[in-house]
Amino acid sequence: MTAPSIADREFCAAIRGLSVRFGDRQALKGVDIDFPAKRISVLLGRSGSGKTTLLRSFNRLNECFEGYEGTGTVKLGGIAGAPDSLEEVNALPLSRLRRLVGMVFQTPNPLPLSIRKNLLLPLTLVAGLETDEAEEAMKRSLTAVGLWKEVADRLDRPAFSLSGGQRQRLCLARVLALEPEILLLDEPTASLDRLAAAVVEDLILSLKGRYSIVMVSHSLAQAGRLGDFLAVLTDGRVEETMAASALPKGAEAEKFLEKLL
Amino acid sequence: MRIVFGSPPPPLWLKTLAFSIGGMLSAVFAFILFSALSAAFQGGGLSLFGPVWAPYAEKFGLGPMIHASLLLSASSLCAGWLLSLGCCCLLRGVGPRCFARVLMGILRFMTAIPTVVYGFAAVFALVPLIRNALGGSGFCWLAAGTMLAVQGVPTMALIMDGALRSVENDVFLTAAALGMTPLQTLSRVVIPASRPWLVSAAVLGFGRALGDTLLPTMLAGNAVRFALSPLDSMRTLTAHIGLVLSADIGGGENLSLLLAGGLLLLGSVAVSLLARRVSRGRNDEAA
Amino acid sequence: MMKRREKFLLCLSWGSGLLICGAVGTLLVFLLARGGPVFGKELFFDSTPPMDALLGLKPVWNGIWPAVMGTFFLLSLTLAFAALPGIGCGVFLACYATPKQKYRLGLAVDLLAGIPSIVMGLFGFVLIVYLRRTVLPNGTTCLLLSSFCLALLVLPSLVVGTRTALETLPRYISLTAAALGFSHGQTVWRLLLPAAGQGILGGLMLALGRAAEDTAVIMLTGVVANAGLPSGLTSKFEALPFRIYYTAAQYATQRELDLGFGAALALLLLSGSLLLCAWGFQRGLERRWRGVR
Repeated sequence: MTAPSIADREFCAAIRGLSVRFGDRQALKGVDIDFPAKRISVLLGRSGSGKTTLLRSFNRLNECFEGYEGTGTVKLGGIAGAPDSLEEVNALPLSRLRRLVGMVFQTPNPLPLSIRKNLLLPLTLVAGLETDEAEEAMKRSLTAVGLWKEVADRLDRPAFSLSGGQRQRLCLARVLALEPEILLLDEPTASLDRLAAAVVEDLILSLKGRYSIVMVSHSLAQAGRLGDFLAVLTDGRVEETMAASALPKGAEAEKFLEKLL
Repeated sequence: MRIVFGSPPPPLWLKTLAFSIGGMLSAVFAFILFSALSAAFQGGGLSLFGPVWAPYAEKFGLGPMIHASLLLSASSLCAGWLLSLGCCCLLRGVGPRCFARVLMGILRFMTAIPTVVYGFAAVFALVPLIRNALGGSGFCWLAAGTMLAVQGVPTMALIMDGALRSVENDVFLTAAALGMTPLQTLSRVVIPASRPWLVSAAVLGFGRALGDTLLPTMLAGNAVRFALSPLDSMRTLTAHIGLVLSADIGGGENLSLLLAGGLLLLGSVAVSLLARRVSRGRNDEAA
Repeated sequence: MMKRREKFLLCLSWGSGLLICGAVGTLLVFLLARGGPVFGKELFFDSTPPMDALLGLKPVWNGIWPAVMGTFFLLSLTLAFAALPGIGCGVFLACYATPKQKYRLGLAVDLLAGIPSIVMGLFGFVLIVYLRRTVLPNGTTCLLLSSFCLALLVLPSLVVGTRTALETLPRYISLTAAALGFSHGQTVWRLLLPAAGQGILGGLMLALGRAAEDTAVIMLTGVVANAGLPSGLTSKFEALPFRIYYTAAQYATQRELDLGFGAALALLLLSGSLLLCAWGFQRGLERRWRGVR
């Protein structure tokens, strides 16, 4: 097993010496890692190994939790004009950072508003679009996630009237409408049934190449299907990184899985 | 994990609005305590706390009113607290479910009954009953205490019910598996475990009984004396303020009512602080 | 074999349950039996044509219409005084305050909530006496003063209601909003407040119910038994609860007594419907969040 040669690619993120603690719980202990641009990177690890915390350090969402203390740098690529420059996340205004780094959560979390408002409110408040531009963007992104046909005639119904899979696609559409550079997906299929999960997985694959995607997954199979680059976290540290093609097969995979879970 | 926000500066106008509450509170305290203090100095201090109320002899002692206030609120609290506890047990499995539902509806409806309506109905129903059955005028400690107890039930019962319900949810399966009846579960496990809530219900109930004006004024007869028998007439501090002010008399009576206001304010502060302490102790225990 | 403690508890339960049911039942039957027959046009307007009374063209002497209107004006003014600071303080406590501010303001709200209404009335009285001595030599107890003191009385329940409505919203809303790049202000005003709106309205109704029934405050700050319709903010006024209180102590004729029972029934209906509204709003809010918390 060799470390992937990602040095010749562009990075979407470079993280150095990142330590995060919440109160007296140390979630990350000095993480150094680079993520490739325009690829799907998958974070694997036991629950509590710091995957979600690492993901949330991209858009500084960790700061929303009680007792947060963090050191180290997180630099993101392509978010400050020049495509090959890396920019420190703390240097950007928060709302701009979070617009450019979109996040989808494990549990679909539509806001308590109508389907239409769920998309329009971030577009008008965060991206500052006029209403008619925003309507256009809404239609584009709902089409992109294959939801437009299903909801076109009930845009003013509450978002909670949608099924679980539809809700998750709505959340994805809401993020895509803001035209992010980087997509963070926190176990996006974990709370869905198998069929809905397959639809969302296909959707993620179709976004490959257009966005830099970093996702947390609990399933090695899913990581193999979707990922280009894998990182394994154990107890707040990066244990191993590899290209997806280097994933062990057969009996080797069993051993690898055991180590992981 | 609790989600908190970074440290967003609140809009100034909102902060001003919020802190205006503090301003108003201090205004109330300043006015009441200042007038009470100046009344105490003008009226010769201690004599205002004396046991003798004889306006014609220039004696304005508040002793009987303090006695009546404490006696009335303590007695009605005891009765009301027991009633509330009983209602809660009935709600939590002692009584049949359909009856529990009706009782819950009644308790909730009771929060909407205005105090003055309780008083009004009691004047024309309870007072004649006491007069005919036990003698006297009927306007007495017993009448006011009964109505005060009933009036305080919904507040206390709803607090207790919330507490008993949450404890019961935790233990009822275990207790049932051990073969305990609902009644045994309540009396041996649930009620002892919710003691802090029962105490804070009592503290709040005491505060409300102490501060109530209408029921004592309408039902207790308002004679200034140290009442000892339940059929005696009595005048509480709250009733004293209302009666003297609406009669529009000057001089020593006015001083005494200002002092009564100050006493009631201090009493309410003590009760609020005690209630906070009890509920803080409760949270610590839970954590 | 039942132990003594269980026996006592069983007796206590049934005894108090039946007693409470009996007491409330008696109260309702009694009020309905005495107030029901007089409840009608006569009760409110006496012999004045209702339209004339509604438009204020002709005074109503022997009905409770002036008291109803007095209560209505009192409630509107109280709402005007209390709504903004009450809701504002609730929002501040739930969404902006630092722990230290939370502790201090929470203490202030608790203390204010504990003050008996008669003391609040006394405050109004002392305040107007002070104002007369200083800047307002002609000042007297009036509608404005009453509603100000009532506003102080109901402020705490408004603050607590608003704060609870906001703090019981599902936590994920603010996290989602942060992830989408909403500023804190946008999250509060565009998402959290609309989402908690029904709960806040419910709290408002409960506060109004409390203001509608309170008698001790207005007794010391300007209510009178006979004033007709209030003629202005600085005039004396009538109010339903005082009408009832006054009847119990001072009624002279059977007609006055009937009016008292009618007024008691009317006040009960008013506070009952305010409570129903409050439940309706809060139930709606609960149903909306069931299963998404």
